[in-house]
Amino acid sequence: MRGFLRLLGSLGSHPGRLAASIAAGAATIGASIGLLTTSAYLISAAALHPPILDLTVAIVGVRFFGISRAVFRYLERIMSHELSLRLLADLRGSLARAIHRLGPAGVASFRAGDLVGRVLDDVDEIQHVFVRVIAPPLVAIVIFVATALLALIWFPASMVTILVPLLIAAIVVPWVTHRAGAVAGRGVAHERGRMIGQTVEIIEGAPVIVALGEEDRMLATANRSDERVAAAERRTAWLHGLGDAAILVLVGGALVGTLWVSAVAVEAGSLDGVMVAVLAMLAITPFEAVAPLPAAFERLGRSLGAADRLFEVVDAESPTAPPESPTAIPDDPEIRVDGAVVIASAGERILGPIDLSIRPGERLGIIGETGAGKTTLAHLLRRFRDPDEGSVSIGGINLADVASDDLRAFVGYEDDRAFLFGGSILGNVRIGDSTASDDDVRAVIDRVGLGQWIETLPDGLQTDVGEGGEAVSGGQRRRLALARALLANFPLLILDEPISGLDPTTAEAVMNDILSASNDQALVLITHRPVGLDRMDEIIVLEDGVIVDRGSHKNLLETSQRYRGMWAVAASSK
Amino acid sequence: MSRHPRTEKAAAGTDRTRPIDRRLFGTTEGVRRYLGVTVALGLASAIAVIAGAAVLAGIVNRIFLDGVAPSDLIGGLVALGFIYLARGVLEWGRSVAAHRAAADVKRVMRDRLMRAVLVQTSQGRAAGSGDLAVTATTGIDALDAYFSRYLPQLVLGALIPLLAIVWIVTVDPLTAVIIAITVPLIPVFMALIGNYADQATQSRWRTIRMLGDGLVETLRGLLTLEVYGAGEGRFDRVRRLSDEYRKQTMATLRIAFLSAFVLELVATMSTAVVAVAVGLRVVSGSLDFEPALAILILAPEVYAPLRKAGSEFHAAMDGVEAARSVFDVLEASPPMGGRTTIRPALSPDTPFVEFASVTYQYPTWDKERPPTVLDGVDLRIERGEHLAVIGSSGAGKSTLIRLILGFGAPTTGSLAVDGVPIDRLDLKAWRSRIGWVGQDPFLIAGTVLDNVRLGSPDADRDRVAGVLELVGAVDLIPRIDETIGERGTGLSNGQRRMVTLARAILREPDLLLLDEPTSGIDSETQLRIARSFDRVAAGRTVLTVAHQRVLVGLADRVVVIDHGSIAAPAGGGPR
Repeated sequence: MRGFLRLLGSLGSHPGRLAASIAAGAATIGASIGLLTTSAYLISAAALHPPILDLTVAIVGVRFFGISRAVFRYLERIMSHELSLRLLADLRGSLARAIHRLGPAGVASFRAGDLVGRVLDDVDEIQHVFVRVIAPPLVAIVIFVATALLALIWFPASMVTILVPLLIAAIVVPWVTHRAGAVAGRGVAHERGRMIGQTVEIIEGAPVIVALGEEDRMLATANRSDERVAAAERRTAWLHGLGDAAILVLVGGALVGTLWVSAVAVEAGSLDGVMVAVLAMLAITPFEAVAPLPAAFERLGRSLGAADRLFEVVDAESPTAPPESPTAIPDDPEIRVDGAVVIASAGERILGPIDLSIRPGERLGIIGETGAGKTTLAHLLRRFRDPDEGSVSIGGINLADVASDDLRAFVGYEDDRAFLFGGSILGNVRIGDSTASDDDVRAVIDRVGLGQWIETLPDGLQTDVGEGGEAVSGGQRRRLALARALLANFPLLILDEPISGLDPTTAEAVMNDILSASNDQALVLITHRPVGLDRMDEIIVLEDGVIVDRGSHKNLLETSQRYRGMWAVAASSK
Repeated sequence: MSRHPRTEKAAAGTDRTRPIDRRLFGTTEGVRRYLGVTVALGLASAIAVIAGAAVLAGIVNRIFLDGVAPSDLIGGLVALGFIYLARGVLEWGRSVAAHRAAADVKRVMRDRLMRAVLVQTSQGRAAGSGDLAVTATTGIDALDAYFSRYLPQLVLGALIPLLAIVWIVTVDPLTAVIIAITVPLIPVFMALIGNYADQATQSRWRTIRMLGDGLVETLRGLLTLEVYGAGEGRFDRVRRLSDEYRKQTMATLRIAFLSAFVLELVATMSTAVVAVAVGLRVVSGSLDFEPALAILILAPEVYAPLRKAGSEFHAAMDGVEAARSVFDVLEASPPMGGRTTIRPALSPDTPFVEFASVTYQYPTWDKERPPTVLDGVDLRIERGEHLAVIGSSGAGKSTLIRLILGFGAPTTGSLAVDGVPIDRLDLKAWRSRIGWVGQDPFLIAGTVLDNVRLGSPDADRDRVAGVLELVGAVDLIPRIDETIGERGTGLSNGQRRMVTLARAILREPDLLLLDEPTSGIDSETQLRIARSFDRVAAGRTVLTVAHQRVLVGLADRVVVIDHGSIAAPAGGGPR
């Protein structure tokens, strides 16, 4: 709800466009009202056979309204979409800033797994919110007021007979159908979810189901769910048309009531008979404004949720604060982690206490299962987040006191996705150092073992890697990511799962290239597969957030049964 | 915007989706009944609309020109009230019928689609892509818009003008002519301008999509931007991209909204033309007030249904499009033919499974050069042996397994089980003798027990627990009644693999097929699988295919497959 109010607030920063859009929407329906009331007046007046000149104004009015409705409608659609897109741009801008501020660790700490995916879904919902949820009631209010004014001027008694049914149609009908729908739909959503799940299971798991001979049983289960969904839909079917039907009945009520009070007034001489047909039209036409309200009401719940979730992201605080008085990093510093502990938002300890040090040029291997805390440890080293207890320091200076640009130049990090941006190989590698020449890029590409591959590409360095780098293979993507990291020449480079998901031959080759290409920089290699660890200076074995074994490869083979086991499995696959 | 892909798809499709697909109405008995009900109720609605206009005009005439006392109007007003009540009830009935029909059609279509997918899979024909799952769920659901909003308005859009013209001809032939000319203009203009707008917007949508993708990419590549300090500029770009996106989108919408503009213009201008023409004839005395007013009231009602149908056109076509892809799958699926089943005459020297010069090409659209996956494979698998086939990705290992399972037949050469060619085997019976552990563990939403029991529904808990212990998944025994989500959420990759392994063993298979049994899982689980291999494999024939040698060391015999051919026997294992 608060998020939705904020959204309304940001509408306020485009007051002119908002007013114009609502005005055009109201003018569209106003034109309908004008067309039919003026036409009714024209015909009524004509029935008294006046000189034709007396009708000129009415004729012009009819023609004007006849053309203007379409024009207003067109303008309204253009303006409301323009406003929606402006809102969308504002929102995307604040979201980008927020995600930038949160950084990878902040994003990862958000409850839902895929924050970006969720944000995109919610933004999708929000981009329709103005046109479908916010504008219709505002237009309806304008039309209501305009109708009230016309009724007041023409025949005050008709205000009751027209406005009361209109109000019922605008407020009571959407509310009742929504409530009744919510009651009838309870449980259906759950059943629908099951049905969809089972359908997807059957289609995607078809080979396994066939191989297991479970076709009939799976189909029967899915069918039972679907039959329950269909039965529920049949039960609620009578609700769906209720709103439209009720509005028609209310139009009838307004019409009959208005005709009755008009007839009484005409007999009493207080109303000109010419106005009877006009008032009848005024009783019918404003109902067009309330027709989209039930749908808007239906949509409101979803939009409220999306807005709240989005503003939660926009407002989220950064997990790290910039240093108050930045200190420079001394030469050849040692990185130390002292008693660092990380506690999840739920209160459980996910890492630590960890003690370790990395000297210039040293190579540290970190091995452990998924969820052991390897990536969290890497996030500490790069200060994507701060430890909850203990400290991480560089050359004796706490990371929290190092200017973020200095730290960025010192510590490099590549994760297992090795994300590439759509565009050329050259552009992607040059992210590491925007001042690098083509020759520099070519040299680093040779170092990571891609020189020959580049030669075979017709466009060479200009080859497009596709959206998210999907046009190149996993191994090449890792190497390109390594190339950009090498080009940046970080004194400390963290590689998080650089060979996960690669087949063993490729993994071995990529690891060789990593180890030979990264010459004198300090290297932290994170992996769950013990490939290449024999060439590390020190290895730590992480389990459930704590270091359970540490030492050199040789050392660990002798002392650690755990490490020996992992190594044996890896060795047997060579 | 979510409309973009659709617009592009609709425009790019050479084969335009037609608003009415005959196949949709042959789906169920209920749909044909629904169509009848819709037409009948539509007819009644049309009559009510015309009667309402006539009664209303009559009442106004009596108040205005005849000066009748209000008490004399009661009959007319009650009749008018009843007509609107009737219109409401008819509307309601139409909606009920529509939603019921939609519910039935959706269920039936889903069921047929799932059956077709299973049958085609069983026959070894690729049954479409991942898109089918989307089609079967959200795609088919879009039929709601088609049945409940589009189709009824289309019926009304035809019936109301027709009946109105019939009635108006009797009171004012000139207006009847105007309506008869303008109503058909609506669909004609819609089609013409719709086509033009589609073409004009098609290329633009691509730019817009690219802009949209740029935004998504910036968010997805956040980590990289952060590490290389390329973020600042890029995040400012989100703003600029959004503005560019807005400008491009608006330029496109200005054209796209044109068809709605023309629709409105024809409808309201026609009403205005009728009103003025009628008004002038009333002045001249050639037309009475009462029929003139009735015509005026009727005019907007004549155009309204077509206008509504027009605004639902795109939503409805999504449903029709989904239905069409379902029918395409169904029509590609002839019923299963009977197989001649031969009982194998077993002789001691018949191999269990034998590939003789088997070549396999994927059945693809590229008829000229279908990719050859297997090329002259000769391979004998003896009863009780533990054979490992190794090779790099794409060498054809998984295809061997698919062929043994009967998912596809050799293009040339022969594959025989117990000496019987596989195409003459009762595949269901043959598959019941196989335990297959695929690369990608398939788990259903349900408990661990449900999942292990998939394929052996009669096994009791104790046996399931026993098998879990046998394969080395003791950690899963206390969790046996734990519900796991779709695709096995709640279990680690290793545990998922363990569940599928236990599932295969529970079937007491003669032949165990292990496809990359240790890839993508943690080394701990790899070790457990390796340790339990002897127990699991005892008394069975085992075929392991892998690019890793983890379990290969445990095999009796190892062969190497390379580019679809058996390269060389790689020598025996250590035993």
